[in-house]
Amino acid sequence: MRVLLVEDDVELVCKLKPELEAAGYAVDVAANGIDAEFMGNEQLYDVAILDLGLPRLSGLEVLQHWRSRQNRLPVIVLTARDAWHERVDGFKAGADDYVGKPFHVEELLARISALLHRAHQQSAGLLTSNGLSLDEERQTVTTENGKDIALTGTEFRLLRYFLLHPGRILSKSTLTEHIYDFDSDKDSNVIEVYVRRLREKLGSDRIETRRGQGYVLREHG
Amino acid sequence: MPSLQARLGTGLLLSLLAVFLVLWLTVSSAIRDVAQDYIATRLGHDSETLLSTLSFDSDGTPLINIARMDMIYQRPFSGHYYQIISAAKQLRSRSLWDDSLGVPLQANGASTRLKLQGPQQQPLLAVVSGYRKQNQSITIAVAEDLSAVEADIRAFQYRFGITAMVMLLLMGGMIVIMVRRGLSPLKQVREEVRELERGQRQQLNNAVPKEIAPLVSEVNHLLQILNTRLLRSRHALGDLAHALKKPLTVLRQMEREATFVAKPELQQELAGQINAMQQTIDHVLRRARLAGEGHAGTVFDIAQDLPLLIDALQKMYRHKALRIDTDISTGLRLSADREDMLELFGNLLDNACKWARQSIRLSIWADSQFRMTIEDDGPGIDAERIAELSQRGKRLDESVEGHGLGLAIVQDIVDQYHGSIGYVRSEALGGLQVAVTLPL
Repeated sequence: MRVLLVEDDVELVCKLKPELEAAGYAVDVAANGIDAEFMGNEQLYDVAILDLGLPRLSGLEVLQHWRSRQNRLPVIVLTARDAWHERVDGFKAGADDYVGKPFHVEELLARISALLHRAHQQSAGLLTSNGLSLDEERQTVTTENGKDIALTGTEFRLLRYFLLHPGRILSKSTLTEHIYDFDSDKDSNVIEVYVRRLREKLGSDRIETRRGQGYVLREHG
Repeated sequence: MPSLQARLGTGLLLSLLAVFLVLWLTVSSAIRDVAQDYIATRLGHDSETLLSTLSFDSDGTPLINIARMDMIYQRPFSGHYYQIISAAKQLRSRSLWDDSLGVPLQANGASTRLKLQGPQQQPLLAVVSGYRKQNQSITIAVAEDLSAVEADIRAFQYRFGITAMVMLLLMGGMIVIMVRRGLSPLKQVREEVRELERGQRQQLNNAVPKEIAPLVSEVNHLLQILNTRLLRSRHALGDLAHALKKPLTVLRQMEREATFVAKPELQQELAGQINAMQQTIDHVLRRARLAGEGHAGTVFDIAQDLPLLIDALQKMYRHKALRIDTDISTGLRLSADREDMLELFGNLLDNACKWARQSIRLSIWADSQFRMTIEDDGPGIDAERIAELSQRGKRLDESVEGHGLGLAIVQDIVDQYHGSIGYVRSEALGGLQVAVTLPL
């Protein structure tokens, strides 16, 4: 899952980015409204965390511009301006959730996870499909026979993306885009390596290869 | 101070009255003068005719050839008289009967016009002229009764007076109407000021007559200054909030750093202090942000703003799948600041959402006051704790974030608007019922 973090406060970004990455998100940062609007329209991101008090273009305007272009990117507004009229205006502009500053990172992570589940028609709580259930907090997966399997960071990211898109064909480039941020070394062959590792851990028949198209997580055994 | 309307009205009516009076006097006296001049001219002619028929007998007694004179001088008290005075004798017209005209003698060539009291109390105009004929000095007085002319003049004056009165009444009515019309922009301004007060208007309409335009533009200018000040202080406070909350967020992240995690008591202390700081900042800033009663800001629109608020709450509490029923009387208008009311409703509904199991009910109606109740099906609170509830920053349940703070702000808003707030157990839903009353 790739997150667009729109925040101009360097200190807060320095605190927040590692936390988000530790929780298995690829994070790109936009420090002003103009960049944020451009990046949000790139269709790369699964969720945006949007500060309202931005230089050059306010967060509320960024959000309005996205929505006026039918950009349905899930957005969590993160702001110190949490008077009720500001919240109402934020939701009216098309925000999906609202987190007031100061906040606990755990709360933000829970909101992001809940929003992603909702955006992909998944119920709250554990992410499940085809007998697998993923604990996003502990980054472990449980199989139908009750076996807990620990995952490495990249494995976790990859499996979460598969579980949020069960039954869909996911190309290597799509997977790369949503698992790595701009600064990472992107080599789509790495995806093959990680898919192979997931197959080793979870069983080889769960993830199908579609030649020339990509991979599919099978919905039913 | 007497009203402008009365002042203008009386002034105009008095000056009109004066104009009519002067007109009445001038016209009356002019007519009288013209009539008297005309009569005097005729009397002069009669006087000359008399002179031409006058002759003297041997002992100097004046004689008149009556046949050449108008018969009117022969009929008694006809109103036309003459009297000829010579050194020896007086000759009077027959119409004078036994009376005589008391007139002064005139030197030859002199002539005077007199008003006399004639027989039978007739007011007379007499022309008295002095002549010399056949070496005799004579004075001839010819007089005519003025009562007919006077009666005509009085009739004219009467008619003139009546017409003037009617005109005066009509014009008085018109003055009242004109003054009212002329002052109607003031009435409109007064109406608009009232709307300003209720927050239904931001500025006074400046399409007014130029006499009150400076006043209106001054008021508008003042309003603008006030609004700018309010906006500036609100912005300044918002920026302050922003500026203070960011370091707090960073501090809050620091709680979790290894140094603090290793010393739990230190971490707890830090967390406690950060919480206290945050609460104080929140409370002070929110209170300062309240616009309060009579501010000409954006007006709270129940039909438009409440659904947005409920929508926002439902998104925030999506995980609870709450049902928020609303029972709102249509056509209600509350002249209160939008931000204040969203803060009031937001905090109350937020509180209800935190505690409710699945149902919340919001009712809004008005009698002589604006009334609303918010009920939930949560656990509610004990009677003895109800009193504590509205105390500043009091937290009933530390586990639910911001609970006490929200209700303290609600209390502040209600106080600002001179309203009242009450907490009871909801009969319908079993949880807490908050009832707020605000003056309309």
